[in-house]
Formats: sequence, structure tokens, C-alpha cells
Amino acid sequence: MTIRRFGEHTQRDHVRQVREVTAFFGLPPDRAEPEDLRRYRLHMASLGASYSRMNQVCTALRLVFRVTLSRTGLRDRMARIPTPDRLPVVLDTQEMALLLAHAQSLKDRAALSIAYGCGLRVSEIANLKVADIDGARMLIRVEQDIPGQSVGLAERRMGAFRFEFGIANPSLTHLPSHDPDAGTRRQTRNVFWNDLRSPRISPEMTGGLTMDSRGHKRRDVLFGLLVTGAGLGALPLSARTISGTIPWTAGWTATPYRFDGARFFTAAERRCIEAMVERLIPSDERGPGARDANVIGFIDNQLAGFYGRGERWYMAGPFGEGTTEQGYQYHQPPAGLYRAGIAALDRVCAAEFGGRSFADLSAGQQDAVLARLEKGDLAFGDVPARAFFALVLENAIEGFFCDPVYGGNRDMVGWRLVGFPGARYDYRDFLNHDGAPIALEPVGLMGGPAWSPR
Amino acid sequence: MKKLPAVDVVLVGFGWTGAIMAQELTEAGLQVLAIERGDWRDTPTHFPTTTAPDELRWYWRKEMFQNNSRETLTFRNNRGQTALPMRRWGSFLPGEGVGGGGVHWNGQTWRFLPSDFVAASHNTERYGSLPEGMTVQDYGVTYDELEPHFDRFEKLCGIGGKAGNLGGTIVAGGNPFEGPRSAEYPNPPMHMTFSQNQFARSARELGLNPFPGPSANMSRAYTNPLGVQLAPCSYCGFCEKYGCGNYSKASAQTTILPVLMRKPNFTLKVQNEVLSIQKDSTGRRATGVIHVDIDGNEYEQPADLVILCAYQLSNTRLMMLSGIGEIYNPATGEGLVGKNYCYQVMTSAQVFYDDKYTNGFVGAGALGMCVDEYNGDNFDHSGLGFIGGGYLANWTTNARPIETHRTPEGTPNWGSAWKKAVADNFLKSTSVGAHGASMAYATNALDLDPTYKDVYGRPLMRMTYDFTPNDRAMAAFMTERVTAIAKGMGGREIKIEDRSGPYDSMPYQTTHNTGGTIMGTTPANSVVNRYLQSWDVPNLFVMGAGVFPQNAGYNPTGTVAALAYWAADAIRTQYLRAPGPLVQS
Repeated sequence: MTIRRFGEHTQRDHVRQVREVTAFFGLPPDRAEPEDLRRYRLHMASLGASYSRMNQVCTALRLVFRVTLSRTGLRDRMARIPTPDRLPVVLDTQEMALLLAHAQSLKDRAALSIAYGCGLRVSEIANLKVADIDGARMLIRVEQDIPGQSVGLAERRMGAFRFEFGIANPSLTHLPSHDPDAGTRRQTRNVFWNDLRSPRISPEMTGGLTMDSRGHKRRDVLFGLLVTGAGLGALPLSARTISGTIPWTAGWTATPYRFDGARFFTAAERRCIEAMVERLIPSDERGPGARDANVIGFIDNQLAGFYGRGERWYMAGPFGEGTTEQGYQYHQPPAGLYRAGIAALDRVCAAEFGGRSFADLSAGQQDAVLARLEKGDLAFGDVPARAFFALVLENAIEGFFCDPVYGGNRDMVGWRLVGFPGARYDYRDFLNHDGAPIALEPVGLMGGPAWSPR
Repeated sequence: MKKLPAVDVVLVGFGWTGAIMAQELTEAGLQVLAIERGDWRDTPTHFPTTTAPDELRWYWRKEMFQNNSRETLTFRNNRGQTALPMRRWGSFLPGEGVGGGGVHWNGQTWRFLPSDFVAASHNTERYGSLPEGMTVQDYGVTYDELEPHFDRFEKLCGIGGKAGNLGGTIVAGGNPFEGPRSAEYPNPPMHMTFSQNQFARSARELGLNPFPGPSANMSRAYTNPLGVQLAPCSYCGFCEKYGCGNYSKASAQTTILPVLMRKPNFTLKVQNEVLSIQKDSTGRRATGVIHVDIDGNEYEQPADLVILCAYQLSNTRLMMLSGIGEIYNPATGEGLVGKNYCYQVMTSAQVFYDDKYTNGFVGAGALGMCVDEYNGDNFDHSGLGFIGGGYLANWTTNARPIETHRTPEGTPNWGSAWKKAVADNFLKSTSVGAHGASMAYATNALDLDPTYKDVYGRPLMRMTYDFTPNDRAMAAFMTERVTAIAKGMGGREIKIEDRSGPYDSMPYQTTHNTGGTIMGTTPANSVVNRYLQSWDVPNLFVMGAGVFPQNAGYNPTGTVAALAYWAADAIRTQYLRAPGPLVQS
């Protein structure tokens, strides 16, 4: 198989196939009779094996009998069976719109609509680089299979692409993926896979796009989703009626909405909050602080997502001052409060420190400013200073101690600092600790600290 | 609006009481439909061990709870203020989706005291008339009547504990103050750790009787009377605010649904929210409900029997929005729906050790030792200026690092000193808490907000609530008792977390909201009768802690479930034979 340059997967499939056949025969293939092959194929047909599956088996058996074992005379027992021609399922525009509407982020939607609009394959989408997109000529270069090939790009999709993939940002040379090893091919496939699981999309509508999840172990699937960043949270909401059954789907887990590299802050805003959280949780003689834990990356990412937009907060007006006991009442969701709070903070600092921004102050000056901010003792105008401070502190603590899957607590420095062993499952062996320390390396949802996204 | 085929029973909401009702009424042969506004949730899909231990997602990003953006409530401390929306959950965390709050509870499963059910008559008899403004009343049902139903729920859940009163005989090692039990707990207590042992020792030195907290976290593998199996708890420390991935915490999912969901006479609709209860022209009969699915399609669902099984706040609001009964007006004292809103009054003392590790991450929601000397009327209140009380306990529910930062007195809130204090004390601290009762006052109430609306344009619930004179006197008394135990636990220092200042709707306290659809002895003092049946609309029943006329010094779930079984029994044995009022007014 190596001589024939079969791929790793093909080789593995062939070997597995021969192993299965051997088990069925109950004797080595070199002693199998034509009748054994006929029985095996009947057995497969009785299991409802598809045409393509039957023919895959055929290919594997041909190789082992004709090439490996040099046995002839079995040819007609290994004939490929004709595959019936079927009309492809074509989605009408409404169905396609529904499919696209189920993409759970703009990035996913852009990828899906490019695939649809330009007829690209999943692998082609996944391997697109910014340089492949020729905005001036409205073309995408797809050179994977045929050098020089390119496809047209409609203006509207170009807009989505610009927005989501940061084409204006020259530092981005590839579709955003914080983990180049994971590859974006699987990411894109998972986008399809997730979106197509919506109960409102019928199997007919999915055409050839489904990703077969059988054979995946649950953890594999979860791990794949976590690693690729395509874990899209819960299934799309859909009303349904359940009767006579437990509506459980094998191999599906509602995965976290995790760090995906998206950013909210401008460079100046990011500097400000980076400086602020480093004073709230300093890197000092007791060990790493907010900077080492990537708290800023965590906050920036959170603010770019549903949290920053306040999508799970009640944000209908009217808005009033409120008492401390009534909690958050600012008219903007978290991202908006950050933006306004940073502007006010830098304005106050510029006025008091000769034009310098908060990030440019010394640590001691920063601490003094923050102490006043905590008490609301800064001229913040309409911006609620204490609410701003409280939210940044809350998010800093989240980013320092959260599971690393969210981009903060990098290398689990927060957990190490306090001695939290992480997302472990079973402490029954330690119930009799009787006040003695328990030494356990921390683990996160995705495993050890080496797996923290960077 | 589409009119759907009629069913025998429609359940509004599908958490603990919904699942209990559905199981009981399908057993009686009725066609039961449950309508749940949240989504389907099951253990392997929604909170397996691989994703459950995730603080940020479930608690801080509130994925486990009712979606705030669609509906919240407004809050003010008193009628002089303008209520403003709770823009995100804080002090309490209502659940949403199949299993309701029963998915994310701790599992501390108590029976209220016999005297708690007759709080007004008992306290009046012993101490004279209740203070001005206090609106405490009797439940209309007694402990003895509920006892078999407490027992059923404990066996359904596999509660682990130690009986202290078996049929009137006091048993060593259990709670000597509890009401007489017909049977021992189905499972033994949880395995105590260092902190509980310190608490128990200190309590004994003070002459108190410590006993293990009753736990819905499994102390061993258990098969319940429905044949559903639960696994031994692994003490992972993610119970409250989290789903259990290990099938170790009793919930609708782990005790009832595997049996119920397969029944041909049960149907569940998810992502469907009930907008109102429909009545006929007499106003004395519910004809069904109007519900809307997540896509905005409205349906009329006729039913012979309507049972509200949602959370206390939602049940109360649905009664108001449906125009059933009169909304309570604190200015005039008229009306009953929304009256006697109560909560829970918690105080605590933290204990810090120098050389001992409490290792709080080795925890479980109901892993604790308790004393009950200062609960209910277990002690003489003469001259104390309050009635009621609470249990004191050391629970080791968890040490989750975003949430848990016990720091000694005088520690700043941020910076190097804060970081050092958190690092030094995270694994070397514990706390003793008092779980105090909340007595009803005329000033604390629920009604509809005049300004703010939910996603369907309906008024939000408005909560007007503050701690009462009774609460403050009780809290001061309990704090002293808590402090005495904490001091004896061998730590370096303690820090008192008392309950001073107004009630703050933001820091998490507990999801034990009660009242609003209170039960009682006459239509003049209550929304529902002793069988949780509406006085006004006899084919409407209301479950949940909303029926508590006031809250006792215990976690409510055990009593909520016992009342659900009690009501289900009344429906099966009395109502179905002769549909109509079960108590003549």
C-alpha cells in the first residue's frame, strides 16, 4: 500500500476491512473460498450497507486477494456493484437562507456563504488565506488542486469577509485560528456539522454536506469542537414536542462558547485595561498575575462576544440611576461600559498627569487612581465609575481563574496560585485528608496546561 | 391562534414539581401535557462530567439559569423607591429548561418542623400576639399529614442522612428536633471531611447535638422506587449552580424522567411559554392555557385541569397576568396574590487556619454537619424580639476559584495584598452559616411593574423587599451562635459576615424565594387551600414555594416536593372522583 502511495487513512481502512472479513470467515483470507466472499457480501447487504460501503470493501478485498496473496479466480466474487444515478438534492434559496441563518457567528456564516456562493469545498474554504482574496477583481484564488484557479466573489460576501476576517489588518495572514495545529478544515466541517444539526433543517435539505459523526467517541467529538473553536454552544433554539421517548442524541454535547481570538478593544483601549488588570492582580513575588494569565486576552474576547453585547442581560429601558442594592443600571452592555469607562479614565489621567494616559502612569500612580475609581471618586461624568471598576475587577478575576478554554488562566497560573486542582471529577480518595494538603496538578476541560490556547 | 386538541391535565413548567405531578397523574391514567419555556436538558448532552465543572459558563455567564434578556423582575427595597430591573441575576438564580432549578440545586433536603406549619397559632399561643405588620399564618396542612409525602420524596431521591426521631423515639446521631419520621433515610449520611469534623467537635463542646445534613448527593449507589439508578457522589464540588454529570444528585433527570418520558400518556413541549391561564365566562373554571413557541406562534391548549409547576416568581406572575385573584396592595392590605413574599436570612462566620488544609474542592452540595437547637421554636424566644430561627451548619459545597475568596478581616479587594490573602487562605478556610427563616410582613410583596415589560410585552414582576425587624433581630442572635461555634473550630482567626444594611439584590444569597400564592385556611387569607387548589378556580392548582405563607429556617425543596405529592394525592383520591372545591369556603 505504501508503494502505491495510499494515504494513512486508506491504509488503516483497508487493514481494518481485512480484519473484519477474516473474523467473519473464521479463517485466514488465503484459505477463503469464493463462497465465503459471497456470504460476506450477502451479510453486508443484509446489514443495509450502502453502495459506496460495499464498493469500499470490494477495493480492499481486491487488493489483498489479487496483489498481496496473488490469488486469482475470485474476480467475479469481488465485482463492484453499479451505483444508481441519483438526482442531487438542490436547496432552493429559501432553504439556503435558513441554513445560513443557523450559522451561529458571522465568521461561520461567511464561511458557509462563501462555500455556497462560490462552490468551494470545505478544504478549500479552510485553506483560504487573506492573500487569496482579491477584493479589487472580486476573485478568490483557489490553488489547492489546480494552480491559478480562482472563483468569483459577490460584493455582499466580500463585506462579510472584510468584517469577520479582519482583511484590513495586514498582520492577519490566515483565517483566524489561534491553534494552527488544529487546522481550520475541521473547524469548517464542524461549522457545517453543528449548523446542520438544527432540528428545523430536514435531512433532505442537508444534501451532501453532513459530516458523519458515527465512530467518534463522545470525548473525541467534544475535544474536536473544543480544539477547533467551533464549539458553538447550545443547539439553536427550537420549539418541539416530545412524547414516548427520551430525546437524547448520541455523540452530541453542548460545548462551551470558548476563546475564538475575536477582539473588541482598540489598541489604546487594550493597553489601558491591560495595565489596569495588572494592578488588580499583579505579577509579584507570590507569582504570576493578570499579565501572565492573559487576562487581557480573555476580557477582549469576552467583550467581542455575547457577553460584551449583553445578550443574556435585560437591557430594555428606561434606564435610571438606581441604588447600590439595585445593581447594574448603565444603559450600555459590558462592552459599552468598558468603552465609556476607558475614555473617561484616560481623560481624567490626561488632565491630572500632563496628558499621559492611564497605561503610561507608574504603578504607584495607577494604584492611587484605581483606589479613587473604586470609591467613585473620579470625575467620570455620566459614566458610572464604581460600576466600571467593579465590572473590570469581576472580569479580571474571571479571567485569572476561569478554565483555560476561555483564553485566561493561561498555563493555569491562577489555579496553581491558590492550589485548585481544576476540572477534576472524583475526589473520593481524598475524603479522609484530615487537614493535610492534597497535591494534585491542575487539569482543565481540555486537559493539561500545555494545551492552553495562545 | 391555533386551537389544539384538549388534554386532561396541562402542567405549566417542568422542574421538580412538574415531574412529580406528571408521574403521579399519568399513573392515574390521565393524559398529561407539560409545557416548558426552556429547552430539553439531559445529563450526557447538557452537563456531562466533561463540561459540567466550568465556573465561567454555568454560573458567571448564567447559562444554567433563566434567560434574563427575555424576562427579569424589577426590584426595590421599599415603596418609596422606583423599582428597576435586575439586569442580570444576582441574589437568586431561577432555573429554566427541563428539570428547572432542580438541576442546579445543592441537594440539601429538609423537612420543615411541625411548628413551622402552624407558625401563627403556635407562636401566638406561646408568646402572645404577633408584632405589628407581621402577616405570618398557618399553612392549613400539618406536618403529620405531610409526613408520608416527605418520606416518598426522600425515597425517590435517595436522600442520605441520619434520623433523629423515629416515630417519636429520639435516635442518637440524628436531629433530635425534627418531626417524627416513619422511616430512616434511605441512604446513610455523606462522608464528612476535616471541616465538618471541626464543626461537630466545637458544637458538642457547646452542648449542642450535631448531625449530618440530609443530602440528595448520593452517599452510595441507589435504585429508587421507580427503578431509576443513581451513582455514588464523587465529591467533585460542582453541585449548586451546576448540573451533575455523574447521576449523583437527585433531580427530575436522575429520578423520574427515564420512566416518565416513555409513557404514552405523557407529552412534553419545550421552548414554549405559557402566556396566560384561560377562564370561562363564569371566571370560576380554567379552560386551558395560551402558550407561544420560541418562533412566536401562539396556541390555545384546552385542559380539564391546569397545574402551575413553574418557579415561585413565575407562578405568582402568571396568576397576576391571568387575572386570577386580586393583586395584593400593601397600602390597603387588600388582595392576596403577591402577598407574603419571603426569602431567607443568612449570616455566617468564616474560619481561617494556619496549618490545616480544609481542601474545599473536595466537596458536595449537601456535605455538611448541622445543629438545629436554634431553629423554628426549638428554643425559648421569650424576650428575644423575634420568632423563628435557622439551622447552623458547616457545608463544604465547593472551593471554586472565581467565586470563593475567603480573606481575613482588613484585606483589600484587589492588588498584591488581596492576591496574597486569596492564595494563603483558599485551601485553609471554611465557614459556619445560619440558614435563617423569613417571616412575612405586610410591606414585602410582589406585584406587576408599571413600566418594564418582558419580550412578549407583558409587565415584569415587581419585587418590593427588605429585611424586617424580625429578620434583623434573628440575624443578630444567629450570628452570635455561629460565631461561638466558629471560634471553637481550631482556626487562627474568624471573620463575621453578618446581615446588616438593606437587602442587596446582587450578591448571591440563595434561590429560596417564597410566597405570593400562599396557602391557608380560608379564601380570606390565602390564594390556595390546604391542597394547593385555587379557591377562586377549583380546577387550577399551584405548586412550589409560592404557597409558603412564610419561609422556615430550612432549604425549601423537601417541603415543596412533599406538598406536590400531597396535592397529587388529593387530586387522585378526591378531585378526580368529584371535581370541584376540595375545601368548602
